Amino acid sequence: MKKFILSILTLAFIGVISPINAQTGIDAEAKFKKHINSMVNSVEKAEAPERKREILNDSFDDLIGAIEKVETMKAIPNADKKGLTTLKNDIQNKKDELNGVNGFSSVPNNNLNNFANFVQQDMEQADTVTIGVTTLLLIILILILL
Amino acid sequence: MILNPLNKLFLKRLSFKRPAFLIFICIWVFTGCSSTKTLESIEDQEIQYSLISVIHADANYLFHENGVSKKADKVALKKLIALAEKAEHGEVFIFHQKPERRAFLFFPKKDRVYYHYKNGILVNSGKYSPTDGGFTKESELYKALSQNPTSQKTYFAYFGHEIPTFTNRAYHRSSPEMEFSTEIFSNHLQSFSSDIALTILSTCNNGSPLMMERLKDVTQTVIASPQNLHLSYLSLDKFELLESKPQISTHILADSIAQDSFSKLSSFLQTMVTVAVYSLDETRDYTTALSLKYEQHLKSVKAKPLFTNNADCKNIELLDSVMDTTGVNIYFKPASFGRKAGDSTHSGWGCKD
Repeated sequence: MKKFILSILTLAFIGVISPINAQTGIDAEAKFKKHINSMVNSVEKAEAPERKREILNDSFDDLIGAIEKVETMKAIPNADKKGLTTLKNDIQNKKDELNGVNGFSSVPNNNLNNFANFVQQDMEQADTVTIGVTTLLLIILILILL
Repeated sequence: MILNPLNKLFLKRLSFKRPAFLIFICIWVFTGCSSTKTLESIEDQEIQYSLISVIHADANYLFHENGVSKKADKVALKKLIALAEKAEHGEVFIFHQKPERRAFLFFPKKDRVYYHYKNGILVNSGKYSPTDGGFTKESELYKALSQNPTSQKTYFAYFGHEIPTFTNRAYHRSSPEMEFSTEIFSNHLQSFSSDIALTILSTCNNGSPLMMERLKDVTQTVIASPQNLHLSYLSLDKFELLESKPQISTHILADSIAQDSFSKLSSFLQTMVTVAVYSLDETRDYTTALSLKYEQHLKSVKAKPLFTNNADCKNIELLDSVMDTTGVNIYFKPASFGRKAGDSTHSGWGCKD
């Protein structure tokens, strides 16, 4: 009888936690998107172009820094490392464009709000974050701690 | 653990050896596939067209508009319900593919929901569970409930993330074992009807040679984006033309939907906007050759991370000899920023690079 009750309880536990894994992935991506959204809100609220530029640069640096920290972790699977590199390059490109380096013309002061929206729309429009849940959670954790 | 006599009796009755328990489990499993609720019975009226829509929701569909967070599937559902209520001469099916939860790991909870509107009135709705990663269950429900299965005018709209070229990525997050790909999509589309007037792919990157080649025997016209598409999706507002101008040709309807969608998306997006209309009667002459070359090209890019934005196929050297744009009408606005901000044209064909 005890074995039977234990089996029922185990099934119930697995039944309860099984949808959590899929949901955790979706929640992690949502947190990432919310982080970008708060950056866009801050840029739009700031009045001086210098401040807008500073917020964008800081946000890009935070993201690149978090990705680099996660990249060096031994437990990160190779497939995720490729995804991290793609994501990092994409953010670096956006930072280069903001500052007018590596072949880009600098984003004009009167276009910084639109640029912040471009960053958000580009990241949200596709299922582009091709890294695993754990890796993404690590990035979010580091971003929170920064 | 101390059990009172009532609990002991209950657990004894719950034993797997008891046939009653097994019958209960069997009923639970077999009735777990779908349930239908007939909401209103209306007198037979002429059905001039059917619109079948599938909204994928089993992934992350969060996006922000003016700082406000929205879920793409819920926005699409609201718009489709409004459209269905105005479809006085048609029937509209909406399949909302919500994440599938399982009770005790095994038993589906029937989280997907469908709505069946006839002459603007909701006549059936219910919950169901998928039987695979494609549309087997959806097409079964459609065939069972449709008032107009032989309609000459059937339209299909899909809202979701990019339909993968291959089955190598979990598309349905809650059921990663269920496969979905271009092949599965095109095969299962035929199970609704083998003659779909217009197919609308409100997804990223599916305006590709491979997709059009697979769809050429199922549908006459396709609206799709060869590049990334924002989660606010293509607009179906122009479907109202089926009510105000019932004799409208599929080509004009498709062009109106594409133009309207492009105009709405371009009004606020800083990213590239591409909406293309593919007349498959015209493209079929060359899509076989183009898709074969494209498949050859895909072998070299398959190892790269998937779900990256497409490139314009015209920039892929291997495809030069078979490249053609006959039958493709593209609405294009370049991105305001980024490396492709200077692009002034697009072929309408999107390829992985």
